[in-house]
Amino acid sequence: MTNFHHNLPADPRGLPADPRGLPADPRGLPADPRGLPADEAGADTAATPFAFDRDLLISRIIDARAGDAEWDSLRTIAARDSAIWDDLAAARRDATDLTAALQPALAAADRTAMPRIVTHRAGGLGFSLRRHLGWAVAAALAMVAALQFSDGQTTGIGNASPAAAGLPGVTTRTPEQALADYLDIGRQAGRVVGEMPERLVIESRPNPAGPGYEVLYIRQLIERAVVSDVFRIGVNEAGKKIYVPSSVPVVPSSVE
Amino acid sequence: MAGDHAALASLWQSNRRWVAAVIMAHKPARADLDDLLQDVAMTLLAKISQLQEPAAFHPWLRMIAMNAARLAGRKHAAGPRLSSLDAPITPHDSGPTLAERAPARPHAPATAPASDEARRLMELALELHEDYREPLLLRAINELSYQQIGSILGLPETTIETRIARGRRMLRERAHAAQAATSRRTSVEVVTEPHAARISVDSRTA
Repeated sequence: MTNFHHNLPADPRGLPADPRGLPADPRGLPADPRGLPADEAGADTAATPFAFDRDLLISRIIDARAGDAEWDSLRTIAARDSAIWDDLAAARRDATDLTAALQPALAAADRTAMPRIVTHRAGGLGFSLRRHLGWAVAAALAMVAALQFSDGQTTGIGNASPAAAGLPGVTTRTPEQALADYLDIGRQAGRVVGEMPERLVIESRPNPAGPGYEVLYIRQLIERAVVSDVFRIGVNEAGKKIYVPSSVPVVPSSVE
Repeated sequence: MAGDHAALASLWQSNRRWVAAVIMAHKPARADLDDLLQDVAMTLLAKISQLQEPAAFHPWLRMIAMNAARLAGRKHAAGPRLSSLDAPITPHDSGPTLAERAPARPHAPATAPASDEARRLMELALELHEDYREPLLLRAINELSYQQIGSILGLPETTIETRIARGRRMLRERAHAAQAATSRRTSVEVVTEPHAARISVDSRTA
């Protein structure tokens, strides 16, 4: 073991430095309750560096980073302690197994494409879309359930007519105008909060009718409702969907 | 704009595998990796313009991945959601479900399923302290040098080497301990089996 540490940083014991100034664990001590090895738990580490050198040596060999010095060191250690071969074999097998176990995650990464998003600012609402989208869907489903179970006897939903909202004589000429009318009337009736600024593209393809692209996207409208009960959708013993009364955790708003 | 998207897509493509490893190291077991990867990709798309220093891209993207994984952890801790992909969009059961209406994911390439032993080892690796499990998983991709892992984690290469070496040793010890515990259970089953067989024979003769 003459020059094993020749290419390691200058530590008095020839050990690589830890950026937090923690000494390396030379004894292979078991981890503390946090999962930290004894050295990071602040234990005394005055013993010989042999065991830690052994870890580093094994790690370098299975990563194919070992040079002549490391192989010489392995032979020296093995002459005194043949169990290092078992550790080396186990470490090699663990590395292979860990790589195999990671493959499904890597495959998931390979099929995750960068999304295309068309952004239109609509009204400048400061909602955090992604954080609330899940709850918006949940609330919508629950609201549907509540509506169905209460046979329309809800409060504050969908009762606004143009006249009631103070907008008599609304005329609709285009889809955009119809939507704008809906938003205006809905806001005044307290049903519509606003439209999310982003539109989520779910599909795009060459325009079959000419140049350009045909894009399918989602516009996201935020509505509010006061309901008497909230249900979640479950399945009974017969496999039929049923509505189960549920409580709703309070979710704080992030309206800026 | 098309060029921007192509460049961004290329950037994502060259980094998404290690992003998956980072998410694996930090996400709760029940959280869906595909969803979290999509979250990270969307955040990257939305916030890349805010990145001031290109050299900080790797730690910045890692932080996005960690935040997505930790947010998923808080969501799971908060309890189940009320929505279900199996629920019909309309209140009538005959309508299409959210799952049916969702755009299909790109076809998942077939990957060899990990052996039970490999999966158990991954579970043990995920129990390690994050200082060790994250470099260990990044190394397990088999595509990143220690220097590249250090760039992602914002740590010197020597620290990465130390943590991987220690992590491997801790993992080896845990695997050995788990194997020893399994062997003890198997021994107990072998001892009790003859009794069970004899009871069965006795019941037939009676």
